[in-house]
Amino acid sequence: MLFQSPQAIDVHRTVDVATPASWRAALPDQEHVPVLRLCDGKGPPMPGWCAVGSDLQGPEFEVVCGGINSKQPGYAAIWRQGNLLHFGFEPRPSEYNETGRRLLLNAIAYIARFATDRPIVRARSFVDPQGGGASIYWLDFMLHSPKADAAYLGGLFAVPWRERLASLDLADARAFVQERLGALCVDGGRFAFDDDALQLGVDVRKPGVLGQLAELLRGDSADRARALLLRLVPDGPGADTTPNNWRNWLHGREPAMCFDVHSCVWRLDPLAYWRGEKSADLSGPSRADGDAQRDPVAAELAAKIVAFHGGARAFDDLQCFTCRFGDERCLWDRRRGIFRVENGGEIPAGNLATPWQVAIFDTAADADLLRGGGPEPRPFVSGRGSFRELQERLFLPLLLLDPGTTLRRLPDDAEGHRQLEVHLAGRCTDLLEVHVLHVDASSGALLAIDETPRAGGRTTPWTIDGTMRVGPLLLPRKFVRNTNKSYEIEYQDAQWNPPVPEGADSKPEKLLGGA
Amino acid sequence: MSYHLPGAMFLLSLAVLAQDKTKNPALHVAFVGDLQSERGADFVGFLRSQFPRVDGVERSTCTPDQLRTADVVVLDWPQDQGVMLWQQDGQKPRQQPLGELSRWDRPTVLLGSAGLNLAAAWNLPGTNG
Repeated sequence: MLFQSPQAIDVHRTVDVATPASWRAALPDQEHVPVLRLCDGKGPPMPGWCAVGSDLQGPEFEVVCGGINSKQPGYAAIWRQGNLLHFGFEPRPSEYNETGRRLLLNAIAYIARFATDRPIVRARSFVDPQGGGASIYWLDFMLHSPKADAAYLGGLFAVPWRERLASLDLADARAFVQERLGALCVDGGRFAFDDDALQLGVDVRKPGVLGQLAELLRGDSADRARALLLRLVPDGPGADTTPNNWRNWLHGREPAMCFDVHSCVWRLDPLAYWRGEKSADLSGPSRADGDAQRDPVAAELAAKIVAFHGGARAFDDLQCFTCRFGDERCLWDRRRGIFRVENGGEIPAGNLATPWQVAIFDTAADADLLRGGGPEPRPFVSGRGSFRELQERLFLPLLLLDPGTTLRRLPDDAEGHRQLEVHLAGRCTDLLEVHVLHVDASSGALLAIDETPRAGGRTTPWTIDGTMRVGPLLLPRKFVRNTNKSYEIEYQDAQWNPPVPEGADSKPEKLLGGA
Repeated sequence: MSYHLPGAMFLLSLAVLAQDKTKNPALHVAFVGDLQSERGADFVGFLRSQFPRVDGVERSTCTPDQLRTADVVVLDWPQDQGVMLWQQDGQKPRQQPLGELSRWDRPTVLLGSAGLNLAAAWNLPGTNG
């Protein structure tokens, strides 16, 4: 992809260069290697930064190509972790040749579509204030390289394992480690073997191990299984979780969990979780959102809709937004990635609904900062749902040309209006929801939205009744649901870039006015 | 390869090779780097010739708030302004232009050593190189 579009690169325009000295051990019989030149002798003294390829393990990694500097051929120069594309080449645009400049442009276009993915795997770095982390690269080197050293292998481990390994020769030390790799864990900056995993005889790296441990919570090994689960799932439901709740928690998440080889723990792959897919099945370009090649007819209609509702440039200038709908008032501090919703509604006597006042949601992290409702066992109220509704209704016409959005032109509806199928993407977005927009062909005005929570699910048709001017934007104002139980949502008092009240990201009391 | 090409053919080959900006997606790009340097100006100038909106953001004072509406952020950050400084003083506060990892949601291109600096700052793989 990176070599094909939007700027075509002829990957056959290689030149043969003498095999670099640092590659000769890996390519002993090769005098020359074909390379695609990115500079024609004008590059900086330092060609760039590359990373050990074997370190880049996890569902969110994708290695595109290597490059020549002082490292070996297995090092990666262009690679991706989630929404971060490492473009290791150092030259600036005027130092590149056409191929180099095209590759840079393609890199920018490629990563633009990773609106939802993010880094999952962690590795404590050599400049961490607590010291560097345990290195799987060096462990692998000591287990397999002819240059390995028994003392160094032992030095990778914390006590008491270090002493055990120090008493063995290299072959025995390697065998000792290999036999226990299924219980490998990280202890500060060094490796260790988890005693609970050893005693339970489980391989902590193996898919399904978390469910296996959850089953053990009801037996004689419950204490060990619980301790191991807590260590293996640091972002899990916590120490007080009952066996039933561990099973429930894992039920929806285990397929979306992935093993972090650097930290020796299991982490949730949020993209897999929100897409309802197995993390193991999601790799490389399949983790991107949006259209790899956007249908020009769909894009033309989308551009018309965006323009009618204020334009992409105007939407980019929206820094903060407030409005009221029903009993709720909300504030979206877009610059800081904060969404705040306040509830002024009173619950009628005899109604069992949960009272709540304020919910605050971090739209950048996709995490609750403050939930309304509660305490346990009463349910909590997250701001995520209200934020999603704001995006999927009010701002939907302005999100159509985002790189992560998927568009498909459908046949005109029975009234002759244009139809556009839309999937949004990005953190906080419901990745499975399908929207079909009904659009006035001449103006680009949005007339109605059909919402389907999942492909094949029941569709809710919303008719849009009027628009409201918010700064330079023209947003839908009122949504009417014409099903057997009709319902209306009207957005009012909308403001363009109002000041953000102090404490909007933290204060539990109402700040947005109203009752 | 022969370099003895007629002038017209040489111009034609240049035209074929040059980047056609109409093929690029219409992205809002934010370039974060040293804007006062020749290098920073080179990047901003090139990106502006290719994309409809390019914001230049000074890295030394950059905060994520300035980048939240960009489709793609392009970060340029030399080693001597990142890991080399942190190696000298491990406890010194670290200015990170993109803020916290958990809150960084923009698709991002990390140029050269920016990848090393960011991986080191956020404890991500990519610092062995």
